[in-house]
Amino acid sequence: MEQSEVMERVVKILTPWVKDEGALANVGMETNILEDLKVNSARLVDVVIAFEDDFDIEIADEDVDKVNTVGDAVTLISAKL
Amino acid sequence: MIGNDIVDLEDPDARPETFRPRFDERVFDVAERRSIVRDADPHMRRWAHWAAKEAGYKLGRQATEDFVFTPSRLVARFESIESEESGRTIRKGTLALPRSIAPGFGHLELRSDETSERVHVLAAPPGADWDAITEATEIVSADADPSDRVRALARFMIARDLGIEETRVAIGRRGDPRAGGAAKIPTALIDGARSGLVLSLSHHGRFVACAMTLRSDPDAVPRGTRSGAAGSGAAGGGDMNGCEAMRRGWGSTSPARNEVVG
Repeated sequence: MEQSEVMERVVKILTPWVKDEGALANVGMETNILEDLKVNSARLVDVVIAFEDDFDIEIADEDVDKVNTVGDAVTLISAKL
Repeated sequence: MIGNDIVDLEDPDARPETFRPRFDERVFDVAERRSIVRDADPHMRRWAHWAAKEAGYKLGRQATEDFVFTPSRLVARFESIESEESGRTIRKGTLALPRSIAPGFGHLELRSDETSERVHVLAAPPGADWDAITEATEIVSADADPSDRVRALARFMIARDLGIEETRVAIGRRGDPRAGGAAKIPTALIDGARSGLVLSLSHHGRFVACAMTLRSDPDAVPRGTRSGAAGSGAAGGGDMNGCEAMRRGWGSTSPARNEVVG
C-alpha cells in the first residue's frame, strides 16, 4: 500500500475526533495528534484500535507510546503492512 | 514526583458508546473491568481508573523517559471513601505498577476527587506527604485555550503559595517530541531559572487541573523568593478572573480545609 493511501486512511480515522479544524485543514506528516489536532489521550487509544481494525494489524502499547505525529502513525502502520 | 489527570464526565468525548468495544479490554485489566461494571456509577469509575493510569504515567515520566504507557498493566484500585460532602467524594486508592516498567516502585498512592461533573485523580509515590501536595481545578470558557489556562492556573498557585509576584513565574517544559525528546514534562521557572518545584498539569473538556508540591526540593527555590509562603493546605487568597478554583490540602480529610477561590 502506498504511504499516501495510509496517510489518507489515518486522517480519515482521526477526523471525527479532531478538535482543531484549522489544524486538520493543514494536516501533514509533522502534525502532532494530541497537541495540534487536540485529539485527547483516551481517544488516541480508541483510534489505535481503529487502526488495528482498519489495517488488520496489531499495535503494541510500546509502539503507541512512540506515536506523536500523523507521520509517526503512518510510518508505524506502513511497517506492519 | 506527582501526577494528576482530570476527566470531564460530561464531555462528548467521554461517552462510552463512542468508544470501540475493545477499548475497555485494551485499557483495563480484568479486576478493573469487574470493578467498573459493578459500581453504582460505572461512568465515573471507568474514567477514575483511566485518570489514575494517566496520573501514574505522568509521574513515571518524571522519573524516567523510558516509562511506557501500558494502560492495562497499570492497575488502579480504589479502596475506600475518605470523605463525602457537598456532592464531592474523595477516595483513596493504589496504582499497581509492573516492575518491568517501573523499577523501584511496587505501586503508587492515589487520591480521587469526584463530582457529578468531573473526576480528578492524583498519583504520588508510596509514603508521600499528602499535606505537601496542593491541587486546583478550574472551569474554563469554551473559547479559552486550555493549555494556556492550565499554565495560568499553575502560575497563580505557585505565586500564591510562595508569596511572590505572578510575573516572576513561568511554566516551561523539558523534552519536546518535535525536537526528538520523548518527554514533555512541565517545569516551573522562577525568574527564568528552573525552580525544582514538582508540577503536573491536565486538561479535558471544560476543566483544567494542576497539582504540585512545594516541599520536595525547597532549596531549589531561589533564596529570597519566599515571603510569607503559605505552604500547602493553608488558606490562600487570590482571584482567578472570576473562574472557580478549588484547593485542597490532601493530608487533611476535613472538608473545612477545602476552599473555593475567586
